Amino acid sequence: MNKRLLSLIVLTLMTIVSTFAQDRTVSGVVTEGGEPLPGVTVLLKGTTKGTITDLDGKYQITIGDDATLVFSFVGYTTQQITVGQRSTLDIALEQDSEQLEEVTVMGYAKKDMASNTPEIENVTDIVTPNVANSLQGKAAGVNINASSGQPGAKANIVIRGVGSVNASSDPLYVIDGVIQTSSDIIEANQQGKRDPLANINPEDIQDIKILKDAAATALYGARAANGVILVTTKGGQAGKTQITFSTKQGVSSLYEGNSKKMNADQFVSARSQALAFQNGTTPESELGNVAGVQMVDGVPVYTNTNWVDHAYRQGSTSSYEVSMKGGDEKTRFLVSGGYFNQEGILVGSDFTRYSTRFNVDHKFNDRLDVQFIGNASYIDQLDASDGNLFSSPLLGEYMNIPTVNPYNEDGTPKSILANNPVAANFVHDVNLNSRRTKSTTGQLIGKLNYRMTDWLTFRQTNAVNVEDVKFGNYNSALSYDGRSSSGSKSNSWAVSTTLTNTSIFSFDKTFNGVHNVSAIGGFEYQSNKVTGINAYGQGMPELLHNLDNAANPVSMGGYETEYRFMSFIGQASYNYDGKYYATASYRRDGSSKFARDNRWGNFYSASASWYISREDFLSGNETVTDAKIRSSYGVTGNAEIDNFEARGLYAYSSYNNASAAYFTQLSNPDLTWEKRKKFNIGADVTFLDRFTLNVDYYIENSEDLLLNQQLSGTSGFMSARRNIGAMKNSGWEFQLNTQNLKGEFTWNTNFNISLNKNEITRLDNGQDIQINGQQIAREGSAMRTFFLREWAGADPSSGAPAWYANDGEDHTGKAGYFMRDGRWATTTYGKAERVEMGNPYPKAVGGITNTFAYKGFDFSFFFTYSLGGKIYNSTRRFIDSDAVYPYNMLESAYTADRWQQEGDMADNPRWGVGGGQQHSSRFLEDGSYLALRNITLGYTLPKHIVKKAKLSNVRVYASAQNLWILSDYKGFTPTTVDPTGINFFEYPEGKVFTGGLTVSF
Amino acid sequence: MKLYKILVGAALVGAMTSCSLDVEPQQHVDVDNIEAVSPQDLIGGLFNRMQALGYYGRNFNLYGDIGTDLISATPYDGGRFQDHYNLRKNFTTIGSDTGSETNKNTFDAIYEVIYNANLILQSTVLDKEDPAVQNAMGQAYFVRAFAYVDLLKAYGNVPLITVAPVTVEEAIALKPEKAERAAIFTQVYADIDEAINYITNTSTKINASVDAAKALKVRALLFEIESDESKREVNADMIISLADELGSTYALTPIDKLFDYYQGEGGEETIFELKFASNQGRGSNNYGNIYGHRNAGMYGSYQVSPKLFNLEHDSEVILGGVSADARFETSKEFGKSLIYQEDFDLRYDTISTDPIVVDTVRSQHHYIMKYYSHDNTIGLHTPKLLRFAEVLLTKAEAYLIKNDPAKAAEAINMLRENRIVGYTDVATVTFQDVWDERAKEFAFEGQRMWDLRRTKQKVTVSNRLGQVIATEDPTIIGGEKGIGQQTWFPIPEREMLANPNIGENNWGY
Repeated sequence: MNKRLLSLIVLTLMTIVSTFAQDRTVSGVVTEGGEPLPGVTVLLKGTTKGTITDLDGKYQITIGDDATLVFSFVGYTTQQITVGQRSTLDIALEQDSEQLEEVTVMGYAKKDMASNTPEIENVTDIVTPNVANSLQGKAAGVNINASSGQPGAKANIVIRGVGSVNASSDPLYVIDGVIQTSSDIIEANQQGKRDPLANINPEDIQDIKILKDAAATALYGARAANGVILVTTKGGQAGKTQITFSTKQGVSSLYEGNSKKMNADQFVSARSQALAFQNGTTPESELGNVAGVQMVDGVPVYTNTNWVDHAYRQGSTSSYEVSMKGGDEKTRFLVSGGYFNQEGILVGSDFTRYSTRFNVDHKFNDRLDVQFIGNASYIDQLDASDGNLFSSPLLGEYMNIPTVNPYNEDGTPKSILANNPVAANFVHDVNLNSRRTKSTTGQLIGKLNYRMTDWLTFRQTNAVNVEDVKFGNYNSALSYDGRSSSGSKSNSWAVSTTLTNTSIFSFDKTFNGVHNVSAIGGFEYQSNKVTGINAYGQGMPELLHNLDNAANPVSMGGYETEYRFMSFIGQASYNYDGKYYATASYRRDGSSKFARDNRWGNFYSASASWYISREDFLSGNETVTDAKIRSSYGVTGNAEIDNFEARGLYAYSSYNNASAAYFTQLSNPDLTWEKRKKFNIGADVTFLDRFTLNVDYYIENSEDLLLNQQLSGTSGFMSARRNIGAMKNSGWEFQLNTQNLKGEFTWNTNFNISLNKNEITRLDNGQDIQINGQQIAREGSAMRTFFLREWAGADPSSGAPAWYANDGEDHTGKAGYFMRDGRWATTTYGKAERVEMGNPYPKAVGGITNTFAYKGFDFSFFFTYSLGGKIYNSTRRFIDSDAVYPYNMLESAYTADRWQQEGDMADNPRWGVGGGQQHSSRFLEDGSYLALRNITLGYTLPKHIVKKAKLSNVRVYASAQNLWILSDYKGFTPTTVDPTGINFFEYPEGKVFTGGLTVSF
Repeated sequence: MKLYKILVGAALVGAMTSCSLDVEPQQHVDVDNIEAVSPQDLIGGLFNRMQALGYYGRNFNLYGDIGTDLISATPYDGGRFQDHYNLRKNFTTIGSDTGSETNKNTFDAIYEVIYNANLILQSTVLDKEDPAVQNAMGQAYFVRAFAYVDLLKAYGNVPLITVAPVTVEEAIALKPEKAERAAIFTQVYADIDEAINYITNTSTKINASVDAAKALKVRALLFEIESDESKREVNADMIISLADELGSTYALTPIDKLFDYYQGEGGEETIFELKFASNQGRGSNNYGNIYGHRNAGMYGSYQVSPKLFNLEHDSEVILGGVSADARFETSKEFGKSLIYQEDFDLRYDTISTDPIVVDTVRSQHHYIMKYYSHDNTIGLHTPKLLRFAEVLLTKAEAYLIKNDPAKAAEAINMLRENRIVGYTDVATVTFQDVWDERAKEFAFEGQRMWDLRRTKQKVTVSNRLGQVIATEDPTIIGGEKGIGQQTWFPIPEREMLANPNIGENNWGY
């Protein structure tokens, strides 16, 4: 559609007063490489008269004598032909590579030649309700992980390393030109975290661009520090109306990985040994005391339940989309509707989305275009219950012991599990207690584009985004979690409204044919308001789930918050003859989030690039067919803080049902944006027209980072946000796209690798910050460095847990110390010093895709990988108690090297000895993996067969994802990671098998 | 053409107008507008802060009992409070579930209470001639004194703070050293005097009254003797005189009303209590849920030590046993008595007909149902932070200090008549009698640990089978195991790191 716009600009450029002579008609066909080219502007030189070629490339125009026709189409070399006496004039246009790049408009302005902006068009290969998950491994410089296997859950997207500690690391989203942030999205509950991409049907997406460097992001100013995800949805096209129908049907199942739990024999063995130790008896005599075991005639009798089988199931996915697009020279349209349903692999989780979209653009006249885009989606999501609830299958499948049967003898699920560490039986409760989020999202965008003169254009975008989220959580009185409340219901309802208005003047002119100058100047205003109410009642009748039926209306609440942004935007670019490029960008942002005197911030970038292959010395070179080098530097910001974080605030709560006011937030007038200074140098080289290599090196210095500086508790507060930190991310990105085989059988490979190093360069007074019990921020180390006592296994004399002393002292002869591998270890937790043990951020991430095509067949396989990140497995810490507690444990805890008798130098303590669960490197695991993310085999029916059926395109395909993962992680999937690197009862991603069909009429 | 120009012009004008960055918070009051906050709301805020989970919302009470002779773990402790139970606290032990800004550890939660009191007392905009403001100041003095007494009981030497920073800059600058206990006691007495001066509340026990300030002083005077033996006599005299003043207004809860007394609020015995209304419930995190039985929908993490009951397997019974003692009356039904008894032969519970967990070794288990339900909410409780029984028992101890066991026996008799069925008076009592009575009277009310230490009695923790699992001797500085004196709390690691001026930790931690 941008091409269309610019062709009209060209049209306007040619507007000169003319004289008319004797009229006659000339017609012809415009082609490119033998294919008809629709949409080409055919202009009678020296007049305003012109036409546009139709779908078959045909045109017809009335001319006078001595007429010259100008054939122009964006991205093609313009041709001027003197008609003479001909009445038919067929023209072949050639692509003009220089012009093609110029017109890529990214957000506010044209794409800067100095930016490396990965563009991902195939976003529907991975079956997921959230398109972010299909971006994983496809572009250098971006690390994407699912945060949960919950269908529709938010993805963690980190561009060029985390640049913030406490403010969000989420990128900015720009959808069809409108800014959205993750924080504008209402989060209903823990499992149901969402991001703006989950509301979009992936089938509606034209492409996604990832803006990383200063050149690309500076115009987004105060919110661009974490990069920008730019989403463009599909638009209409002139020509015959085309209807496309597509569907996908799939099944999914658990990928168990290394998370296998103990079976009943193993559990009974471990637990009886633990009891024997605790009670000073023998394991044999304790068999009857193991939970779930009954002694019948001196023989232990117990069942063997694999709880994982009860918690996970075969999930299913099905989606249907219909789209219709078409239009003429003046008006084009696209409308689409989609349905997506996914039944999660975890019982009690599903996701259904109904979505519809329209995109209409209309050329009002030569000068004015208008465009309307609308998107509405309705999502009904059933969330798995969090691991902190008794009835949670996530909790149960780990903790429940195999010697307990979930069913009564008559086959009905037990309401209470006797002998089980968790009395709740999720098999019984999961369908009684629902946690359902229903969200309706709407976006309306109106754009106008007014060409004031041939070199000056005014553009305006007005958008309103509304998100309406209702959440209901019902705990049945028949379920364990609902027992004490006699059944409870909580409801919340929140509405987020965002208004955006962008007005931009853009200037574009070429002087003397070689000096290309363009500039923009604009203003943007955005306001967001979120309001919500919630209520909670107890005493719910079993069949009725409305708050109205609550016998005891316990509580209600509400909230309201707001922020505003006001921004001035400017950019000037110059290039000399398509060889030397320079751009300067500037944005001044004001935000209501900061204190009155600290509201405004300035953000900018400067960039330059050199298109070497356009120089004479490389012209015609057949080895290096395309080459450029580029560099940029700039400053962007991160303003993702609470809306009123700078104010000193009193909060209101209650005491004995009367108002209670207390001080809740220290006033913080110095609070300001985090800044990220981005430097980038890179090169793009294409050899033999077949191998393209993009290389980038970057240094991104984050400054004024908001850190929670720990305060003495005597100040009434534990910590305060201050702009005290600095952090550096530096790294290399390589992207290699090769066409290995051309011709009838094609084979393409896309490979990318991103190496990133994160280092904290400044903290207040160099003082470490304890982020949580396991991680610190320390100067010279990576953010979230694990700072733990180092696990030393079992004390050989007692089998008690031990940690390396790491204090550099000689402990010869001291009680409670022993030597392991030449190092002192202690059984007293407090005496062991903590040491740095790595961080959650991978040193390298990337992906490799191979795509093969032969005749109508296409086949691809896609690997993703991640190296060097650590995962703290808090789930394992919770359950693997060395059998001190009657929880089930991982099978690997049973087969592991364990202390049996005095003198054993073992990795694990004696069964039944407590203390080994305290935080230590024992639970820190390597998160590296190599995953076969996707395999797809497709077949596109030959055109001649399709045409007989009066169709224009038919494709069928089958795909499998997450088939295989190579990893040492002792959980389900290392690909499902909390952004902190600490996993706790996570909902894993499953294996998915899908079949699909696309038919165009 | 004109039409488009108008359209574009309108769009431009529309873009530039109605833009403003001035947004006011809708849910909070900016500190600049403190006059808009009423004195009564500020008082509410003080007591609201005392209800933090780390303080009287749950944990502080538990810390006084878990890890003493009164409590044993059940198989359902879920790892909660294990460091406390096993007497292996260290300065990283901050209790379970705590340690964030909205859910602070006990040390930080207590200082937040002190902070909000200081904020009222240092205000320059409040109209100090206004009687409502004066009452608020009195409440603030009381609350500050109360909180410091708790710090003195549980931590010992801690920083003495009487100012409240309002900006981040001021808060960062606050890195205080520890104060000596004597200096803190001096501040406590000064605050109590000011509280008595300013407090006008006589209508409710859920705010402080003048009597509450006096009862607090009784507590402070008793604990001061621990750190300053020279004050034995003079403090005992003051305790007796304050107790006599209070004795005319308050009375003990009758023997048949004990269960109701703990489930409800008010009562003749209560001098000051912290009201938890049902809307302040924390669900499963309610105080009573740690103790109450699973079948009542509670955690049942800890139960009464079997050594309190004269059970067949026990080698010894502590505190002279609890037979005929209404405070330990058992029942096999919920909501009937303070203790729920689970028997071996009760193979089926009342809800599910599933076999319940039983220990083959022991015939009975006793669960604490003192905090079963309040305001129609399971596990909720309105803690009676100052009640007449404490004044009475403290008076008894004071009489023993004054070498008057007959007068002490009078006080003890008065209490026991309201607690033990068919009690016959005694003529004399010993310190040990008073201490044991105190243990039973305040069982599971968060007093035992501090009393054991104050009276230099050995701490012995037994499991539910009656086996000793941990011990501590309060007379050994640094503790038996040399890992810190377990009858004291360490200053948390978080504070040690954030405030380098605080110096060495206390008590060998």
